[in-house]
Amino acid sequence: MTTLLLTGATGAVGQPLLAALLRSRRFGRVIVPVRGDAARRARQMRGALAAEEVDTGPLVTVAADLADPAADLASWPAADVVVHAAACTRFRAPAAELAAINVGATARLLAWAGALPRRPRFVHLSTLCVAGCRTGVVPEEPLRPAPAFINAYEHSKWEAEQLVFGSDLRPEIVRLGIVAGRESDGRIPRPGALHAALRWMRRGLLPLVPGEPATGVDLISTDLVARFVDRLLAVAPEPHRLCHLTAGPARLSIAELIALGAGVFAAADPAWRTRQILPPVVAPRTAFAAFRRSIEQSRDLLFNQVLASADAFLPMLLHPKVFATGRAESAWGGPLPWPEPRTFAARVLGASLDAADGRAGSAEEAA
Amino acid sequence: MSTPNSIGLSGVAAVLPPQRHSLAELADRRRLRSDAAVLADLGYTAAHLADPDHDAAWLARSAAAAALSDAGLAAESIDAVIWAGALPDSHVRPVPGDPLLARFAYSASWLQHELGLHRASVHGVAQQGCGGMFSALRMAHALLAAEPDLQHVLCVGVDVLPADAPREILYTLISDAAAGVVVSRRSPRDRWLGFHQVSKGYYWDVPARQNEIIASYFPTSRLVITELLARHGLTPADIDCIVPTGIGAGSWDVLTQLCGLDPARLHRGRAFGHTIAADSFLHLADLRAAGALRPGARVLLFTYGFGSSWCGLLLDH
Repeated sequence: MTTLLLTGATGAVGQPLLAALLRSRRFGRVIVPVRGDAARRARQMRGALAAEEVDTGPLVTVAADLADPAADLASWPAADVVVHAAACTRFRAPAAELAAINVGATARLLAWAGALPRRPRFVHLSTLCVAGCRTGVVPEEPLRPAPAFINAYEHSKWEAEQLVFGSDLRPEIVRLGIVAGRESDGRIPRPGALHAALRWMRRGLLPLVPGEPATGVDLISTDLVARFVDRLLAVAPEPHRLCHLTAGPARLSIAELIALGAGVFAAADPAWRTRQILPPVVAPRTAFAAFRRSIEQSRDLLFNQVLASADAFLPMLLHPKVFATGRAESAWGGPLPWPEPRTFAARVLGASLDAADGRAGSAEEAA
Repeated sequence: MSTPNSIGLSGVAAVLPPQRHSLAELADRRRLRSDAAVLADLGYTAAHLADPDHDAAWLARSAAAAALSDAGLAAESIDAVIWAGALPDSHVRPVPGDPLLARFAYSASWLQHELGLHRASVHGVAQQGCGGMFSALRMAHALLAAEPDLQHVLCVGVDVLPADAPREILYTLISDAAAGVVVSRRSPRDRWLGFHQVSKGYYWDVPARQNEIIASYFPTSRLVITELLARHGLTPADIDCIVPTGIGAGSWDVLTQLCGLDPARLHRGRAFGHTIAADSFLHLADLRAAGALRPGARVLLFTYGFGSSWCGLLLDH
């Protein structure tokens, strides 16, 4: 009986990934560490999985907070495969918190796995954000020396990658694009920085977006992550394999994404339809910097909140890059199963509309 | 016969009241909403405030007389007067007597009488916020284009905040001032090239929508300026001078870049805060007096007014 240990199973990526791996029936036991009120979380998790008609028989929850240096991992059952999906993805979280969760927890998990009698296969889920301010083509290779980073999140995930590469477990790494939502309806269990920016845009409170209009945005679906990791675990391990999960060759540019958003919002809101609210302007670096200065100088609470929210995520658009995907496609066995980007993005945009707006068909029409 | 293309601004003037109060003084008098340091960071230093000897009437009369002088015209040459004011109080003179009848004591008619503009028909422009003077100029241009017998239209804009009002609106320091502009059928300079206005009633409720108004400023401003240029076959590089308003200096750096305009061509004149109607004409009058613009220079004036309206005006100096 093969045992899988999956961290981060309550997160935006972990939830659909857990469902996919349980459905695969490849693992006789799936161990899931949960933080906080473990019993309650376990009940919620089982309830959510049961609602999706997923057999939770193999599921075993263990109470532990990996970010806690005092966490007792010694009592965990051994695992044959470890998928480390836990991370703090709040770009605006304090650097110490990001380091504790993204670096400290990774170090503890590697140490635990390295101490097991039979060393497990270790798959680490990372992010394309580790490329930071680098531009051009980013290879599916370790990024050394460290590029400049936009925020502490990127830095913490890069540091975690260095720990993983340095481990004699010879782990595999999958770098994820911006996980935007489910392909079927664009929804996501835990909204991130992208979704916050879309909410500000929807309310007409996001005047500028930094970058060049043609800069691509790698929005990926939770389904793509789940399918890919599931397939990866079905093929033989390749030590230190590093794969990029991107939006693929047809990825949307930021200008296309904004235009699509305007269309989706227009279908729901007369203020957008009549162009009373206009989409944000894609602003060059110097204009955005001047805008940032004026907002900061005003000390306006709301706009500084908008700016901070946007600033955590949007400045990556000032550093256009293309991520190689050859190794990911090799692992998959051909072109990745990318969803049609406009349809997918329209669903994500539709899901970002306030629940009170409640129109199901609008996103499809806009696409 | 003149063509609409020779219509232009033959006289331009603007007047500030002499009393100038520093940010610290305004803070001491509890006339600021933000900390004085915040407004200083945004580029403001002081505001001009009207006083009993230099009230709205004095400002309007002074600006109108100076505009007539700049145009080299006598009062009886004026065919129409257009009075612009953002505040309802700007349109009536405070007079004693029956309170209801006093509400009809119009400022424009007072000015006509005061300056001896006896041949002029009298009009008013309201509900345009800081864009009032721009609307007045547009109507003046339209009058001249539509009625061949008219030669000169005098536009006067004045706004004075109530004596006890805060001097700050949405992070903008407000001064009292007036502007006067004579729009003439045959103007030797600042000829009319084009005008574009976008109005968005969605933002009519200023207190409720103030955040959305702030956020809408840049996208709509950019739209108006780019559409204005495109309608007249011009590119951003064709603009020789951008005349700003008195809102935060940093915002003009952002806007010029968003529109592809050369920030070096932004006129960086004296600081007087934001005067609601007169900013652009204070700067334009300074530029004209200094001879800072070559003949034929293309000048862009732009403003935003509560309501909400975004207005752009192109002139051929």
